[in-house]
Amino acid sequence: MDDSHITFKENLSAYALGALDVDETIALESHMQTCESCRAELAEYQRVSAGLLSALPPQPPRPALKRILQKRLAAPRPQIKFSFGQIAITGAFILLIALNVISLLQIYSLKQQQAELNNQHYSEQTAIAMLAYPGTQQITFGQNKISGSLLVDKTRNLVAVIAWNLPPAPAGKTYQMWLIDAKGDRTSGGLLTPDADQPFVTAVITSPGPLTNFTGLGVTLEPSGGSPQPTGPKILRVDF
Amino acid sequence: MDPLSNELSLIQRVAEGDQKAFLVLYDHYAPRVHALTLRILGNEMMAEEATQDTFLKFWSRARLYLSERGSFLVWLLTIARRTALDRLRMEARRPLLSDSKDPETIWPLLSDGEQNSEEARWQSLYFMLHDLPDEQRQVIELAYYQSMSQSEISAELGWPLGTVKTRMRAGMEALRRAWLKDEH
Repeated sequence: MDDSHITFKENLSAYALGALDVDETIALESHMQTCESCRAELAEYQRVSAGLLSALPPQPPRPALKRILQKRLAAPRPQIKFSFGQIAITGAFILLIALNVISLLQIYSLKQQQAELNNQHYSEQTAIAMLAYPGTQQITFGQNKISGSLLVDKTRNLVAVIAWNLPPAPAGKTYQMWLIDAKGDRTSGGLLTPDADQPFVTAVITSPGPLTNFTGLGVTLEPSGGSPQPTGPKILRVDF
Repeated sequence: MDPLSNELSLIQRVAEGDQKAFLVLYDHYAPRVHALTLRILGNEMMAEEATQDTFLKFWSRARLYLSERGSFLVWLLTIARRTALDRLRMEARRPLLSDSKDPETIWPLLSDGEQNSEEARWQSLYFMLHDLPDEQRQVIELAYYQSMSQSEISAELGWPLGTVKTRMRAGMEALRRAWLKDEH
């Protein structure tokens, strides 16, 4: 058992509590991909941390809360219904897409690299322009050894993230940004991909709705390609 | 608090918009959800709002629960924890340190006649946590109930980072040993 393995083992309990700093989290997750004994021990610590959720004496809320909830439930829930015609059109559309997918994939693979370069260029240009604009709100942050700035322009619904010292995501993983609303619900803001040759990474999010609906930005570590909702460890959280 | 024998069926009915099923689950689990939000937020009004938000999220997302991935209670409490921690960050409040109440005076809230083996294990974990040396319990509670990293705990308590790590590791190792012993 080498020294690095011992260090990883020592970090397992803190990982199960979500208390590791980001660089330690990334290193440990990378190590666990090939270390069965660490995965097994982590599973035991995770049983303890799941138990901590329930290990509190029950505290009934006021009876009034149930009445409030009943009233709120009375509001109709949004239902999505499809007619037969819509299903047929959707089916035909999917078939059309399937027929073209092979040629699209070829074009996509050729253009992907160019798009990534263009995107990076756009992000950096936008960030510079936002820095120069007097109405931009600038929030600096320093968490888990990652520091940088958030540039927020609520009139144009733009957020630029400039993060220093964010290490490249481990194999099979990616960083994903989330716009967080007042209720804590997350809306994906896209992926954040640090370049190993560059000490900082820049990304721009165009909010899908008024930016005033959101109160913060989060970054989590997700499986490659991103997730519909956050599932991985928290890397950054900045309120604006 | 007896386990619900038809829990999965109730959850499916909630996913279909059945308010009665929702209220059965609310009656059963609200005390647990509220205990967690209250522990994290330390304020009755904010905890009640977080409890309400948790159940509204369950109401709108019940179909996302997958029983093969774990128990419903853990899923619900995970939503409650995240909801309460989000609220805590919004309020930018100082973290709550360990609650100083004597555990013996709190647990009688659990009716002896209603305890099942799972309930007894949670109670046992609560006592295990309170049996830890204060400095070990404190770092575990700040990490889990306040979502603080070891570096943040070090800055908050003024303890060297290495000390925080050692105490967290020792406390969790003691809990793990006791928890696994109970499983066998």
